[in-house]
Amino acid sequence: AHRDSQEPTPAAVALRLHLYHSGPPGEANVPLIYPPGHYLVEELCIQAAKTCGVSPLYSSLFGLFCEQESLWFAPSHVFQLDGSAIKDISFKIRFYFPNWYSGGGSRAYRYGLAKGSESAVLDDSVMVYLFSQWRRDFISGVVPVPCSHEAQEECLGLAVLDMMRTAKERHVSPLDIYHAISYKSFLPKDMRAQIQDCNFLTRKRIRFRFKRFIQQFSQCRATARDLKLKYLISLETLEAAFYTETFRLQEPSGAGLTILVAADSGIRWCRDKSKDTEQEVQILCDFPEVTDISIKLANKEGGGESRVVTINKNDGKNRDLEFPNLAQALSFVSLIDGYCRLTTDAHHYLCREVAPPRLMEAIHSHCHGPISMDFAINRLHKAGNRSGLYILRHSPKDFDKYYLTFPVEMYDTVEYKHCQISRSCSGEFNLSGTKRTFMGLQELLACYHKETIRSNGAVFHFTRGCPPKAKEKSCLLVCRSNKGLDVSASPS
Amino acid sequence: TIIRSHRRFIIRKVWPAIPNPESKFQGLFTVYGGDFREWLSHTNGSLWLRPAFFSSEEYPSAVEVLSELSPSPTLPP
Repeated sequence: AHRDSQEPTPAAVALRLHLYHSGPPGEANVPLIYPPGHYLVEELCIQAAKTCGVSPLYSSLFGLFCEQESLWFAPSHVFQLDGSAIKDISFKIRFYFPNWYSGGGSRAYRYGLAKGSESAVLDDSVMVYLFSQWRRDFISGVVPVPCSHEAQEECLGLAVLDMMRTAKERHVSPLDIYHAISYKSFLPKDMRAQIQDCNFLTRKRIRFRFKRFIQQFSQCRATARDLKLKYLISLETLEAAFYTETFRLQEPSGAGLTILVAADSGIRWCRDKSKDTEQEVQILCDFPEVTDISIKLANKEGGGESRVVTINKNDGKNRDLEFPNLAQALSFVSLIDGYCRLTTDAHHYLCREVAPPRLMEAIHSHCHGPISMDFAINRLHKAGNRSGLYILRHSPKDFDKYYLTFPVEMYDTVEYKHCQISRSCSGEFNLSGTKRTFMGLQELLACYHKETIRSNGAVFHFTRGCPPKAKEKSCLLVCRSNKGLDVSASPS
Repeated sequence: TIIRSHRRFIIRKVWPAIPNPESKFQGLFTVYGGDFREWLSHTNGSLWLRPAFFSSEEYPSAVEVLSELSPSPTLPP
């Protein structure tokens, strides 16, 4: 499929960034391509997010993954590509919160200003992206699913949803799709093979029953969006590996150790099963308990590549984990770091080596993440709306825009104004309406600090900023009301 | 009994239980009359069907920096 795209000559391509962006139905996804050079993962993610219509608020759920190496990259990682080989990486949702779709007691949601104003962890465009990503991981067998009778029924149910969804998107009847595309191409690779191994009669019976159900389902009133949502809910229930990352390590004693990380259960570990001990999953800690993480070279003779990751916790205890190499260690640490930012403190990093450069820049200039206007206004209101007070924040919609929000007194009421700061592609900042450009937000603010600003008749001085507070609650943070309910459940 | 268990074995070989997608959609037609959304929200414990995130749009204000407004730096406020 990639060959059809307008690519430069192979020698000029060093990096292919694959997207699960669902374009027009039936059209192959064209990857973003890059010539040899140096590429920061965070910037690649921003370019991919822009291409897929993912807004800054949701971009913190994404990461870059290399399927060949089965490795996630930290946002701070730089690909140095000389063009001798083509690197294939995928823009994928890495941080996932089970039950994000639920409005019930056990759910995950973004904080709101008041009860009832909470918002969903994902919006519809991210959900559609997740659907394309999980669907591919499911059908290609990248994430294997169990092969019990129960699981097989679930897989067939997923195939029904998928076939219905295809029919809706192509505006044809589900039976037309059934006749045009084999139902088996909607099933995971392994299950296709299992059905292939059945005798002729059994294969015919499965096909017949599937067809009969598709016929019945044709009478159903459903939208493509709801079919995708149900597909995701079913996959989440079927196999926790869709949102659980697994790291295989070795203890100093030589015993195998598995680390499991997921949003609903935090960091867990288990020793490999031996003859006389059962494999028992134990909790290492939850994300809010981690205070910082360090990575150092393992003290080994013979110049081994392994790295020791030390997780420091708020109870004063720490835990050392030895990873076979630096890449694995960084992948793990960036995962914990990302989950901590999503659950605990949106403006904090646990380990300098994996910290996103734009986050460091924001911390340095006391800039809030992409909080909504309502959160900014609420914060100023709580600070008394004093004159000279302002809040600097990243735009929730545009990766290259920032806002300076400040209160102005107009007659007897307070109004809020939002001045825009734009970031050019060369990384220069400009306050809209002014002439000068600056190399950083900090420099820009330092300059206009002493100036008088006028906006629609109101005069203003940027005297006192409201920097983000530690662990401040906003729409950047996800609350997990389901947290800890099933922590002792074993991974499937 | 040997013959009977042998027969059961043959039946299971020729006519095994096959997976049926229908079992994953219980109540969709019988209880909810084919209304997928209704069925979905009831079987998954009051589903979040609101539009994902509603944020009020900001209108950037026009700004002037007084010192940049040459040539008359003594503009009235």
